[in-house]
Amino acid sequence: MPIINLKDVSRLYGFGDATTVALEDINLEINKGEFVAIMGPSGSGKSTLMNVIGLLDRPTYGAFTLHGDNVEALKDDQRAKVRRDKIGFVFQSFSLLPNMNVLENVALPLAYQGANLHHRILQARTMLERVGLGDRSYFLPTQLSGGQVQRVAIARSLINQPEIIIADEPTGNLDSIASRLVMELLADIHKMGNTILMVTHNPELTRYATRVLFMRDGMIVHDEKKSLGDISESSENTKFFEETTNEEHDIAGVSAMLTVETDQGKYVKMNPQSTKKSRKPSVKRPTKKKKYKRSKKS
Amino acid sequence: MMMVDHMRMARNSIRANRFRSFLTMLGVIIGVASVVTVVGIGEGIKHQVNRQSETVTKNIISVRPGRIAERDGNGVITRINILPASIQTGSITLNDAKEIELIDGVERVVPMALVSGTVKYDNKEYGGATVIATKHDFVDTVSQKIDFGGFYGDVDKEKRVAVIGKSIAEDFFGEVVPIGKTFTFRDQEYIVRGVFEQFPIAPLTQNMNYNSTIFIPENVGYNLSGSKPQLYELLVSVKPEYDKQSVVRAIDQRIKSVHGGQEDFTVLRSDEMSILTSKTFTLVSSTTVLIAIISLLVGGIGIMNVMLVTVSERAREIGIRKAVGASNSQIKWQFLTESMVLSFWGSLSGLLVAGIVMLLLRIFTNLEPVVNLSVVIFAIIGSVVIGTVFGVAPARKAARKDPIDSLRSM
Repeated sequence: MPIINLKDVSRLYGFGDATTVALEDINLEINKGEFVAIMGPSGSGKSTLMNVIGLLDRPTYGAFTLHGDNVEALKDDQRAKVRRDKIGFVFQSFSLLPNMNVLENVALPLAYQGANLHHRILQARTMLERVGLGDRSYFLPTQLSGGQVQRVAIARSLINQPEIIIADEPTGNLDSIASRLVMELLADIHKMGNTILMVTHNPELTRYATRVLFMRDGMIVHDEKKSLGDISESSENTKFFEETTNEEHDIAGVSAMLTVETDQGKYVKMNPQSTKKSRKPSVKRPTKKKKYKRSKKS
Repeated sequence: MMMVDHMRMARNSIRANRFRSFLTMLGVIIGVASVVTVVGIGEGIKHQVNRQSETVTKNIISVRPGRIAERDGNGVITRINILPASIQTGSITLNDAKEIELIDGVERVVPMALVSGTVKYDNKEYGGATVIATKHDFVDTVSQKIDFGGFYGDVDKEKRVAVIGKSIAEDFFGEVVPIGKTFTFRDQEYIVRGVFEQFPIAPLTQNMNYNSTIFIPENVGYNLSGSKPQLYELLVSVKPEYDKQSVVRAIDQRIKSVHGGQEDFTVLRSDEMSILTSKTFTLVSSTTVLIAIISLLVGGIGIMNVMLVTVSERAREIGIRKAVGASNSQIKWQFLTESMVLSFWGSLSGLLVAGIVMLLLRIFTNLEPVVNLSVVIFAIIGSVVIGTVFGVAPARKAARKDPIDSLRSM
């Protein structure tokens, strides 16, 4: 039985003409022990998907079962309990509370579980040792480097022995050496049988994953299982799913490009010369009729 | 999540923003400091008056012009009039004094008469002195020691001699023992015969400050006042074996009948002076306490205001806490605890400020404020209650924050 099972999950923001679709009919099964890397351009719905799976957000439509339990309709406090006991989060930045020392930060989920202080400190110390920061227990987050902060955040996400670890661009703000340390740590955790979901922009990092998802416009456009250590081939081409111009645009000029119907502004090339370099997409976007009107046009 | 944890977190975040936390607490600090100080001053005055009535005017009944106090059937004071005391003089006479002397249980009656005029020494005028004409047994009645020299006797009735209070010696004559010195009063020269020991003083009372008083023999004073001496008080000492309250009642009835049924005088036991004072002071202090309570409320609003801002500012923190599994009520309690801790520390700081103010008052004024434990407890509990009440709105706001919006903000 998959640990995470999403069926036709959609997430909409706003209503009426201002409706934005963040997730569109997502069907996804993730099994225990998978290391899933999620890629895709900004605004493609990666974070929303993470938030829904992490029970920070509710799907507008669809069913979501976590370990066989339906969780899409849970109340706030029940969802908090699931987050507390079953999910660990690692955010891109500022993931520690600045007023608390490292040990207290790591022990926070246990505090919300109501564990006694002794147990909490003991556990937090063990976790810090595990991420190699045992000697930084009484440092404040501001006294740590970015990589150390992320390792502390990982220690915190592990402390409640979660079933899923959700990492939203954990190495987004790190240099390559710190990134590597953090990724090795996640890989270690994965080896011990944990399920990890990670959002990333860096194709290089897919080598740690067993499965790579590509998202675009709120949909999963490509789902690839791969072996550890390889970089996902298709990730090379993730930036360009579609031609940003066509012949018509070439004739009409830049203004026609800017009013292009199907593309998000970011991927529209302002410089006509560069359009010639755009490669053919290796991943074809599924041709599917849109159900919802998008507001981002014009 | 235990209360201890919330407290630890509150301490952390208060420490992280010391100056802002101080500003947040300021309203509570001022409120608590003013309540405790004002009540302390009032309490202190009561103590001082009590001490005065236990030493100087022990066993003394005071008869004064004007209706200062109303009594009920049992002789308990029910109401105080402050105004008549200052404007109504001349309603008691030497004849009343004679009548009182006849009452059973009365040991002696000492009439106290004000003599108007300024005193001069060394061609300097001194405005700070009150001249009182009284009998030679005043000194026995008030049981106050004479530091230097002696009081005038019965034989000195017609002599221009004077006994002065300690402040007069120091401020007017500029020396500790001005015995034998002469001063001029209403064109006549008086010789200083004695200096009183320091009288315990009680501020804000309707009693004279005897430390800045010049006592002269009764007849000398009466002559200066023309036909009728201005009696402001008759001091009546009671024989030890008699009950003071029954003597008070007897005096009351006697003078009432002498005055033709008119109650234009007041008979007070010495121990009632403090009641008189405290009732007078209650008028002042209740207004101040009201203002202080308002400032405590304003302090509470200040806490609420800052906490509301804090909630928006700490959205990221709330987001992280919720992500790691904090329930809404845990977030709510965290913020509620924080405002409670703020107001608690505010009240303690307020107490500290009150302590310092009271100490300074003791050193630099003749007030002797005391710390009243029940007021201290009231101030602490009151502040915490206010902190809690005004902390609810920010705490709810924090609890209801959407975790995703909170995480997104930075």
